[in-house]
Amino acid sequence: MSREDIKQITWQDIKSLAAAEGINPQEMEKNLLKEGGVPLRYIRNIEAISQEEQRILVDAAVGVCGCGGLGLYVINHLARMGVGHITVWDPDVFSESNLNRQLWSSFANLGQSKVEVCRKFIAEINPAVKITAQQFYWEENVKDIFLKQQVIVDALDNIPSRLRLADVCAREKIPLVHGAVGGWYGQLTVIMPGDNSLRSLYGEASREGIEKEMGTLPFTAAAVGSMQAAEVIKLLTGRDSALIDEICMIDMLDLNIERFKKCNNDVTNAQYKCDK
Amino acid sequence: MMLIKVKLFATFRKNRFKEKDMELAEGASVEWVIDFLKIPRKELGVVFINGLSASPESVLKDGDTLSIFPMVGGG
Repeated sequence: MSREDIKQITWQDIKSLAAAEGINPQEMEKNLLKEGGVPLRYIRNIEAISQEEQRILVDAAVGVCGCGGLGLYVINHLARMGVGHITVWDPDVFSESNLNRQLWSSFANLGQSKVEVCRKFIAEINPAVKITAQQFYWEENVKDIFLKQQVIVDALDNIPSRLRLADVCAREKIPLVHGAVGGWYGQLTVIMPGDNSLRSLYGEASREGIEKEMGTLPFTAAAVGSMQAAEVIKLLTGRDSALIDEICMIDMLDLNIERFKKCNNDVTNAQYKCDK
Repeated sequence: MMLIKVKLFATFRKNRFKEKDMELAEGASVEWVIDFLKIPRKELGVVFINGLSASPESVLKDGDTLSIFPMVGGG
């Protein structure tokens, strides 16, 4: 069946149908996808992902730790893809030095909470997404909502917090999609329970990376954040990802992307939550 | 003696090189190369030998390719 033959329903009609049936629009969309239809705003997702995969995304829960250069792109892509439940953690407000790279930052919202700005934009992009905005460090709330996430995204800006996040995700058996950037360079990997490769990337010490000297460029953050979002979608839909066994190194200056094998990776028999 | 291909990445290329064949004494380790190239330990991220993650203590063999990355942690 081609895209043109699929029953496509606008957001306005979904809201009306949901109201008529006394259910929320997200439930209405899941029913529609089960019956072979597609919400019009997801029609360009279809074929690249199946209708069943789209339904899985509408039902999925992803947590994003950090709403900066990486995180805001990740959240944007997940919301547009139709990931139904997104929880975001960041204690910060937008500042002028964010303007070079952070999506949705503007002079108008300097001083405003990043997670609240996020919530506002997501409501405009995709009102069916249930966004939970947590204006504090993720470490302050690792019970309840954190543990309900099928995938966690490491979009943090410092190494000690990244290592703590990897430890918590390992303990709770939640897959983690790691991304980091500095200047023209970035790295990306998927960390399944049993995989301690973040320790091989960062060691035990609390150090700072090249970003301290090099800053962060907008296209590097956008590229790595976009790749993280793609990895999240693959995990949620049960697709294969090379980055479970590999680390991807990105060089935007020499336009070089290389993948390297992890060792000390024992994920083969690990049970993890998004594989349900 | 043994011949090792050393590949540097990102900021480590500055004032050094992108890729170079180096002749080293048998039994030389990754950290020997790092020190020889005056790469500050605090900047060192991950190293790979023949595309597989390794540690600074790893001992090199003839024909190995050593890739050295700085630490990247920003977001």
